[in-house]
Amino acid sequence: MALIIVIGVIVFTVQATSLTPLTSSTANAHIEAQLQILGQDMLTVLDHSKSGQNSSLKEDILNWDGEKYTWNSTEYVSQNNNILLNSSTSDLLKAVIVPKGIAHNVEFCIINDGGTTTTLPYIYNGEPSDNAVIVSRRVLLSNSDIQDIPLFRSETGIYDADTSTDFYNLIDVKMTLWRM
Amino acid sequence: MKKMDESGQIILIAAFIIGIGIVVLTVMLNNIVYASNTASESSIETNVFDYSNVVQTTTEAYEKAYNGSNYGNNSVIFNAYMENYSEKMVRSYSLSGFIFSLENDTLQDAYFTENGLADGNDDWVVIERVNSTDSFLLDKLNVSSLGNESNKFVIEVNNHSGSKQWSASVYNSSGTITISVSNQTTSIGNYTSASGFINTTENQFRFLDNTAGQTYTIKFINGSHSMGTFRIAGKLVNGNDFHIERVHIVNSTMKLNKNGHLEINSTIPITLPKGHI
Repeated sequence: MALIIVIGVIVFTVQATSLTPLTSSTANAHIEAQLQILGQDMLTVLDHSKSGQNSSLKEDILNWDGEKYTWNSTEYVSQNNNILLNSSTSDLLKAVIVPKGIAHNVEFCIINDGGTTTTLPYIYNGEPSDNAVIVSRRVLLSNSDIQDIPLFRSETGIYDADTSTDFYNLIDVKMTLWRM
Repeated sequence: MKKMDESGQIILIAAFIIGIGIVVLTVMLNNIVYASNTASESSIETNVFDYSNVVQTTTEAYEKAYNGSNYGNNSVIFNAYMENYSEKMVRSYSLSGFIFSLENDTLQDAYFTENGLADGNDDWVVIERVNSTDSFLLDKLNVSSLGNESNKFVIEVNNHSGSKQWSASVYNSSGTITISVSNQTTSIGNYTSASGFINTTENQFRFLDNTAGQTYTIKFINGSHSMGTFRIAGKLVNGNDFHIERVHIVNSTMKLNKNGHLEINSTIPITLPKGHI
């Protein structure tokens, strides 16, 4: 009888006490920190510009056709079966993130005059988990960066925030990374 | 019977003590895990990442605003661009919990120091590993701020092993801008500039024939003794083009604030129109 009471109390207390992120699971904070550092490093590399030229990240935005690309285990393919080519972002993701089995999205966010945001998916592999990390980098676009402004606007939906000056828009590139 | 009742109470008390002990141990363990997780998050260098992003985009914004406003001459266009940029940055960073602010400083004439300010680095390397120079212009030299012969501003070209190939000393000689040019061994000549403009690659200065076939470094010495603009363009040894042009500087202050703590507060002189190689 005494043994039953003791065991009962132990079971009750173990169940009542929260044993939260103790194990090395996908929810581990260290893994989140590693993903964040990895994402920051990748965006830093992509946004590096030399000799006064556009950074690779900016070039990828300027070359974007507005389609949403998904990884199909060999290439990034859009809904219209177009393959994402000439993209430094996709090349880097293929080299660094894909072999590690890390799920990822890359989105371009613009802030509208009313304060609302418009999110435009560039690379989309599904809804991120609760433990996903988001790393973001701001990229400035000017009219002089864009070859064909009406075409760029109609394809991507990124509009000219100020038509009176060379300022075009500020893009918040958001990279979301998570372990599956 | 009484003795058995007392034993039962002791067993119950023991069970409660064990239960409380487990709770205490678990709370301690959770605290340890929490502390280690907090430590792991602190290793993320978010400030450095955001700082580099803010400096990069702000520098680019100033360059674009400057070029789009006829070298800053159209202040309405220049300020409108920077206002738009600043507003978008404020809105964008507010979503991440940051308060961004940019103090839009006025355009200033530059000294020939490294950062363009009067108290900047006096002696500095403008460009190294140069293969050839296509254009090397100095303009708007200000006689009143130009040092005399003992405080002269010097442009020096050194070859790969550090020996001087060509140099020009610019100084104020009784209100006249005087340029004293020499090569490795001898004086090439003394010249004057009434307008404050010097085209260094002109034949009379013999810059090109003294640097031909060399890999060289262009240095400015005593930069704080002269104000003006300069433009250098050419090719590096690796075949890449270079182009450095400084007409104005803007001493811009950028701030990023989060949770009431000042995360970033830096004032950086930005060279316009083109500070980078």
